[in-house]
Amino acid sequence: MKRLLLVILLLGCERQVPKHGREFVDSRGKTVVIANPLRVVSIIPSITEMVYAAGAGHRLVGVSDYCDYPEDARALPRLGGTTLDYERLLSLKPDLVLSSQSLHRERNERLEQLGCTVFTLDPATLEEVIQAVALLEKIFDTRGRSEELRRRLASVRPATGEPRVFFEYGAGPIYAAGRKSHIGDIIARAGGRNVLEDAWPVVEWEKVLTLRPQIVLVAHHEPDKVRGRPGWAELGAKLCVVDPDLFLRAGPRLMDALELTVRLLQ
Amino acid sequence: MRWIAALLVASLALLCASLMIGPAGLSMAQVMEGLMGGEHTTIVRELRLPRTLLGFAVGALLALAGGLYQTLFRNPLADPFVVGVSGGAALGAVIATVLEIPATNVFAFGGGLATMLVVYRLASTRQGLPVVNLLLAGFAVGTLAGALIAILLARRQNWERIMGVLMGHLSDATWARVAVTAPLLLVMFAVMWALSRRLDILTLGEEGAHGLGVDVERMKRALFFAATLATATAVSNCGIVGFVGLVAPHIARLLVGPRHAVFLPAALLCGGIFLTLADIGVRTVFPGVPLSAVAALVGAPFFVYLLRLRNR
Repeated sequence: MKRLLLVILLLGCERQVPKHGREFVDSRGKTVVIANPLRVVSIIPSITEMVYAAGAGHRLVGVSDYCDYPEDARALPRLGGTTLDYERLLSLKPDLVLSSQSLHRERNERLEQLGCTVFTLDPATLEEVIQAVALLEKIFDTRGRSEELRRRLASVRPATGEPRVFFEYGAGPIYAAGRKSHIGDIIARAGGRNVLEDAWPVVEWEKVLTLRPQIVLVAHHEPDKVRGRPGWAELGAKLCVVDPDLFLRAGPRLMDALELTVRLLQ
Repeated sequence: MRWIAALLVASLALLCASLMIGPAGLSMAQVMEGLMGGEHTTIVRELRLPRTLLGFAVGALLALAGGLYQTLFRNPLADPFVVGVSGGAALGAVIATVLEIPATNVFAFGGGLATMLVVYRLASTRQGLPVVNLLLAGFAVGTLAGALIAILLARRQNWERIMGVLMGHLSDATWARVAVTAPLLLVMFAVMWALSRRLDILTLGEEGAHGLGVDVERMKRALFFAATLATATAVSNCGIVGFVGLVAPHIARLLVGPRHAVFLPAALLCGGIFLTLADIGVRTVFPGVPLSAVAALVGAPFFVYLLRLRNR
């Protein structure tokens, strides 16, 4: 469904509407009229990264508490994390607010009630991330890194031998990423076989042992906990600690995550 | 009466202060202008005004609920949380959030009411409704509701919104929420105020009240229902905020004494003042900190102070 929407969104964009700017279709399937946005707010870390990748980072005037990449984003006004500070947001007078529909449907509705122009992006794979960056380049009329990302994606040579991979991003309980998540997409593209099916399951270590992963990707700061689990030595798997933000955020750094995974899987 | 007037003046002053304060840094003139329309009208009329009114109304509702529970159980430590109703209401609100149903109010009331009925059943004996039974049953059922919320949290869907319910906050205050809470507060206060003589008699003890011709069981049910409705409405519109229902009635009783005709309005105003202050704290000193945490930061030490005062 999301893929379909994105196709529609890419087909639908760039229809010229005189004076009032151009029409773009977002991940809600909603047509949003946007006229050269100069004051932009992003309330999602991955979208903030995409705006920078689209070469429009200098147009951002406010971000969420969680937006800490790239470095420049840290200097921007913070608009909240668990709750959104609507007043501070409005006082920045943004002409465009970038958000996610799957994460913040209610916030989006509220922001529109308050008179903001909201555009949502919900890429679920690396390919969709690149498409979203390209779309942002069109919206901002900037030259960004979408072409470079596309080239890099095309030149990825997956690892051979289809090693069994297990990815966890929390150690107690074990939070894992399966084939249906965007991390599953990365592992598959890198030539690995994710041992889990569901997108974001909580699993028992016992189950992981029976699946006999050869490579364990650890996206948290407690690798010793993993090494200390019973049966770890007998499993004989290779443990790789990776940067959580690189993998968990469905943003442009997923490309780095993919290239890193290819190297780790060799 | 003097105290009621003083509390009213303090409430009005705080409500005005709450309108003036915010990250947009508007001057007093700009706020006045925003009230009439013009440049800052969205910030003043769509954000600050509903937030201020909702905060006050929720605080008042919780104080009223706390006061009623205390009268009902003749226990000064009773409040919406101790009897398990806020847990049940929160569970209802969380279920609505997980199922993506917008009728959070209805679900919260359903949850609160269901909790109340279960607690009532568990606590009932042939002789009536012993207070100890009620408090224990409330504790058990409230804990169960907490466990069910934890199960829903573990699915990690809508995590932030569930946390919003659990931690309490006013940043989603809208006129729609004010339109639910404020009239309910006024109606409930009017009804309870009209009943204040009977509430006074109820505090004498059940046998005494019965002797004076009050239908104690019916009165208890009415109180239970009203306090539950007040709690559920507060929880579904601003999440769980503790200590208001405990501290506000205590202060009110210290100021005006236990007679319900003066105690109820004083408790209501104290609750409103307490939560308005806490939210001003959230918007100035502690940005992003949950309302319940700020309320507890002020409420807990004060509560300990009250306890020591009583024991002296």
